[in-house]
Amino acid sequence: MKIIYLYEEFMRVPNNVEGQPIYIFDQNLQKNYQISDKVIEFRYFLAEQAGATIYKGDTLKVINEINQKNPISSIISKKTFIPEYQNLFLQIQEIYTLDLLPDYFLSTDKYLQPAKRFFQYWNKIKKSLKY
Amino acid sequence: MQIKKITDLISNTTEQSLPSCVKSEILTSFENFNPEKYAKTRNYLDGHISRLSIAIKHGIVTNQEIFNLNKQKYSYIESEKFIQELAWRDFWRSYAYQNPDYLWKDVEEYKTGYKSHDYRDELPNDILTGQTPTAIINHFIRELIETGFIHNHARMYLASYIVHFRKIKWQAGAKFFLEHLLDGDLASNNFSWQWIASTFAGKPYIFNLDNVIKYCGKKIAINPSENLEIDGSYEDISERLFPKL
Repeated sequence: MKIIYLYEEFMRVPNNVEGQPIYIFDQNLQKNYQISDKVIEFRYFLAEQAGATIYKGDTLKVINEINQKNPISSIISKKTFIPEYQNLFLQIQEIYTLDLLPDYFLSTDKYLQPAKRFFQYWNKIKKSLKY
Repeated sequence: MQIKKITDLISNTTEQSLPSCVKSEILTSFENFNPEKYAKTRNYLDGHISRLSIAIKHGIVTNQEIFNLNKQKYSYIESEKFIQELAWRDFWRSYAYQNPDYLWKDVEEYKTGYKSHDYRDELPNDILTGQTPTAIINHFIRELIETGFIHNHARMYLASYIVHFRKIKWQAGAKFFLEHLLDGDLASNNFSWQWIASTFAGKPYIFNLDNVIKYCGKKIAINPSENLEIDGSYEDISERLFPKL
């Protein structure tokens, strides 16, 4: 079975991707802050809208439990800068085949530009955005 | 553990409706967006804004899809300000990819005459509950908590109030926003707080009552006597807030 791992930045299954979407409420992935009931409810609503099976608990444990019941052939998700998810993806990759879709940027080939101020960044990418 | 219904997660669900986040509806609604009108009015609370941040945050629509849709109808010149605002989000995320440690640490020192240890670590109760001495700030806090969304200019006022008027570390305010905002994006949120605080900008962002009246006065009744804490010229407020400069 192919799993589509949804998380806060990836709450819609892209058109060309097939698999069973899952969403896991895992407090360990948000170490520095709490989220309000309203935010929880909204994410639940989005997960439902995406047709996800929804879980609560430690993400790796939940995925391993799913795998025991129904072997996982691969997991699809999206790349992110969020350190907790980057660490999670490294852990998932040790056990499963993980395909990460590219992150969403305006300028897809030039987005990682070293710049300490916005206009330094803007001057580097704006040529690729002009039309 | 599988969750079958929302009450398995939280005991009380909100009585207010949640914003629609269906891609086709969002794209249909975006057909009415005008980037020129946006450039002229976006700083006003009743201005013409896209309200796409919640959908973009969750990947329901992408920056690039919005950029391409806009391109079909408007020239680059008409759209430049809007494209820049989309690019701000990319800038913060690009910086986060390359400097993840700074998501929660000061990128630079405060440029306020104070050191980081001069600022308090936690938000006091009057801010958490929207009962500060300043009515407009209370309005924004309550709107944030009740709806999960406030206008970008209101976010800037609130952040500046917390960091500079109340001398609280930006991290405490950033957590407060991430707790409540439906579009709370870690990079955009935290680096914007650092921009306001001056730890990721050349100077601190401050505001005064006149500015609030100009940009919010048409939408919210503002009584100057209930907002004395933020009243004064920029020179007066700057001297009051940053006497060491």
